[in-house]
Amino acid sequence: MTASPSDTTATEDVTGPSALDSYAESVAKSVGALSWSTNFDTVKVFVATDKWTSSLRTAKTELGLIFFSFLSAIHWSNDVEVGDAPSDPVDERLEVLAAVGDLIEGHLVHFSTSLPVNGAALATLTGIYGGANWHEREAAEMFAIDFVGHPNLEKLYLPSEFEGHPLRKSFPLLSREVKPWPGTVDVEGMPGTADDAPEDSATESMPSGVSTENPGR
Amino acid sequence: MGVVEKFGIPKPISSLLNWSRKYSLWMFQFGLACCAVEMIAAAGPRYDMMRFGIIPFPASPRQADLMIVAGTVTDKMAPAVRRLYDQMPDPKYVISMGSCANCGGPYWDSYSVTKGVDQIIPVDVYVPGCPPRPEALMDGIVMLQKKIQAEDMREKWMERDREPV
Repeated sequence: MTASPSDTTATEDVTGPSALDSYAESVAKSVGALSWSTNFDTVKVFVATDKWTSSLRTAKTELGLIFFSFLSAIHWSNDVEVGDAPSDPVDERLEVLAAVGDLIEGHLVHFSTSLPVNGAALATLTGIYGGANWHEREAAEMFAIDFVGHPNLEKLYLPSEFEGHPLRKSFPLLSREVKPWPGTVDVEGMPGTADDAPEDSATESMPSGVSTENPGR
Repeated sequence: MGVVEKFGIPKPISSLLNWSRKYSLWMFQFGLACCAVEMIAAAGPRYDMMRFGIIPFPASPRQADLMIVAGTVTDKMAPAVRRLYDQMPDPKYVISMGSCANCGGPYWDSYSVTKGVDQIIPVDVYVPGCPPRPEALMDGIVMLQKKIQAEDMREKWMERDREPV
């Protein structure tokens, strides 16, 4: 994941650009993207917010990316309510991601755009990909993004009277106000690791009444 | 029930009725998460819940005596749990199965998970575990049967409108 969408992170390799890189570059050129990256073997193109729908329409009609996989968002923030702040400071923003694919050629392309945290608004994709409907409803309730033109921007998962946007980094977990997160205490190691329980106490760690024999055998 | 409320039920009759009730518990399943798989396994042929007189999975809460809440109750699901509990005829019993239904479990700090099903319906037996093995669920069922056997029917009738803690 790059720290900023303005970074062009074409990986320089001694063997030259890979097939993935050249595909990402061609997609970025076709949709008029700001930049692209292939980190983690994932094709990702960064587009301007006002070209969001037009670039995805191009992706569907001209590049054959007809399969809508998902749409979600990430709240990049240095001021987090729960957990640890990122070690490297990030630009405060909402990054919206839409993954669309070509099932015949086996491509999956992540489209990314950045929104301001306050008053985040983005044009809806429901006119292009019908499957974006519920994904945008979820992103709207979790991140407070207004999808302009969405036919029914009601809450999807949360109760309708729920207040707040839980996946924002500024959302507090009330239970942790009462009882702080205890951290990793009293946790058994995974089997086969160094801090695994010693062999002679292997049966002691089983709950009482549980046979060590596999009943499915 | 005026007579029963005033004088109670004679012990031998009460004992006989309790004995017949505890071996014919129609079990309404509320499988909400992975605990449901263990509950289904307990009802299957290997663990064979029916040998304890638990009749699994009636089609409707109106035919059930026992509700097993197996899994994570969310705040959005909670009204449905309460409504289906209200539709069960008295006398009715609830087993809370697994850490999530007992207290929220690993989701104790979540924004969306109810911190224990006992906040919305009264619970008779809590079965700990994540998820509990079928043996543990059956241990809870046997415990509930002991509770039913020892029950005073008048007290059970009087507390029919009891609210969760």
